[in-house]
Amino acid sequence: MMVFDDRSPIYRQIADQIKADILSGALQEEEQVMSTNQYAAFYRINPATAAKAFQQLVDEGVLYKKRGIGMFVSPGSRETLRSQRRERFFSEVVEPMVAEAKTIGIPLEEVIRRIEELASEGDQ
Amino acid sequence: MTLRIDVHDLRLVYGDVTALDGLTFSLEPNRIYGLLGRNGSGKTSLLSVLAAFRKPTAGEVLAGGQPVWENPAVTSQIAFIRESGDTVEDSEKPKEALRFAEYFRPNWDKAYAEELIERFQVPMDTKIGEMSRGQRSALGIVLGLAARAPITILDETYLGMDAPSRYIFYDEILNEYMAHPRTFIISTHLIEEVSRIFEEVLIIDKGRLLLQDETEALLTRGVAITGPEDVVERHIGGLTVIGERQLGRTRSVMVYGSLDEARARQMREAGLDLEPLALQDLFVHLTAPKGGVP
Amino acid sequence: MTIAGARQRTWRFPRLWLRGHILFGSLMWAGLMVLTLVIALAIDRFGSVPDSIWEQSSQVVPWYVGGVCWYIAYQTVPTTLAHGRTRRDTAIEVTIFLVTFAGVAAVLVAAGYLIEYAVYGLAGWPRALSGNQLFDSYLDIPLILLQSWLVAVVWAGAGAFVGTATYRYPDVGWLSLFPASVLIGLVGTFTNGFWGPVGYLIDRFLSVETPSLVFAIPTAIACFLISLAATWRILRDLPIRTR
Repeated sequence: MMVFDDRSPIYRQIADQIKADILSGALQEEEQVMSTNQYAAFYRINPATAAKAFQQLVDEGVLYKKRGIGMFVSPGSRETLRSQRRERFFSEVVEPMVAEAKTIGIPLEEVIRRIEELASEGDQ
Repeated sequence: MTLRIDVHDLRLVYGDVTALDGLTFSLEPNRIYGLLGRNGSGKTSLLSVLAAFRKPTAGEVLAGGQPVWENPAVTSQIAFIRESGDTVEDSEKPKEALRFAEYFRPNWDKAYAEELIERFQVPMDTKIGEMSRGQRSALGIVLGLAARAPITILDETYLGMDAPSRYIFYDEILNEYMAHPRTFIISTHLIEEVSRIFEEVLIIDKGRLLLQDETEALLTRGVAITGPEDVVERHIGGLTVIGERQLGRTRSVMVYGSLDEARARQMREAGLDLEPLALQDLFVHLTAPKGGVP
Repeated sequence: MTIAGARQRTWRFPRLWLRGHILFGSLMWAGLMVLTLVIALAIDRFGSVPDSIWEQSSQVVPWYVGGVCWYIAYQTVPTTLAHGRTRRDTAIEVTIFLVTFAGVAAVLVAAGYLIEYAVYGLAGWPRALSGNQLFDSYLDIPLILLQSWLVAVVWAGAGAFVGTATYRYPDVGWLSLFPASVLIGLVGTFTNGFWGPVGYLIDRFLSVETPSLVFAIPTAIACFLISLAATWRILRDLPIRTR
């Protein structure tokens, strides 16, 4: 069960969690998502907050609404999210990693060597 | 029934104490509102006046466009519970209190009341005057929720209840809200525990309304900027400072108002640490003795 | 959605209050009746012949009525208001309660006289009233009812007034006992020559033969209305405080 961090809007945390679930496959495309009321009851949050998260995901095309039935994961959303993450990978993951390595004094060659090790382990 | 609440320039003066000093705000119907305020801030006075328990010295309180004071069509739709003290008699047992409530509350749901009594384990055979504080509070909550009043006001009704009971309480509010939408106004000191069920929060301090905002929005409006004091100084020009702390040469400044992305990035690149302020921290700083929303 | 609609009656007949208090009051009355007859019996056993005991013991009834009405105002009214009723509607309901409860008390007092009449008749005791009432015969039911009701209703109003005053002004509310006693004294004097400071003053300045029906009726009604007005004055903007 996800524990909310009180320091940032909960609707954002919910939206991020759903996106993570879609990426990991925990939520399949065309699968129905819990309703806002179920979400609210389960996480003990205001239904409007859950609704806000869902609305954001609908706006981003990640979810879509079937009238009278509920919210579903949009087809192709997994790929969309993946490519979004891919775009941000370098600016959000690689560049900070390099900056951190610099700050603590790890030469980049060591970093690259380690990455190559991991790559070959992964192949086996 | 949906009742919008409108308050204009509300004042309440007792002798030489000004409990409410010109409040103006509106509450859209069917939302869960949190009312936060320190002891003596005027919270209970405000709620008393909203529920027509007390007549204001000046200003007006409207529900559904009509004044609440002595208006039977409106007051019968408002349930105001402060612990359980006002709506029960100490010499009675819960059974009488429930019967009384059933007689007076137009939307009373008897079956639901009985279910809640079970859930909160309110002892039916004990005189109310002999109950523990937590049990009295639980009874108050039963009376408040089962009344199914379109405007339900709960003033720190969790006092004396243990954490598991409080969580049952929050669950019940949400379930009730989703099943039978109504306006809930909940005043509390346990901000971190309850705030996530609030759609909007109102902060009252020294008889004035400090702010009214969506809970989610408020969580983006406070930032703590920490770093070496000279660097901090350089970057907070023009920002609204609501508090600060110092440890050695490290200074932490609490700022109210959203930071745009560019500025935030600038600060981070300068080596400053930025953290959003939790609602409770925001509240503490805004209501500190020399605080206030500038 | 706004609250529109015709002005409908929002007050209700206070059946809940009446049912509870009449039930309990009747039990008290029954106990009092039994006690009264036991005393009469005891007097007889000790060799004397009893006068009307009920005439004395029924004096307790107005006190009981006053007490109940104090409780209604002090405890029940704030609870009612806390449940979303208006002060105006509650005032109407309280007034109905006062008049009705006093009426029931009057009926029970009259019933007491009838029972005493019957029992004394069976036991062969004389049925002698003191002559200090408006009525002078056990069987003058209408007058017994009227007097009992006039007295009870003023006690009821006085009780409600003191109850409201003591609720709103916990420190000085008890001072309301003074005007309340004047009202009670007035009706008492005109119905059974009750001697208190009020009775003394009436005797001194009015030289009216007491008891007096001619004075009793308007006085009682006026006293009741005064107590209602005074109660309403306090009730109309009564703040409900936390207990």
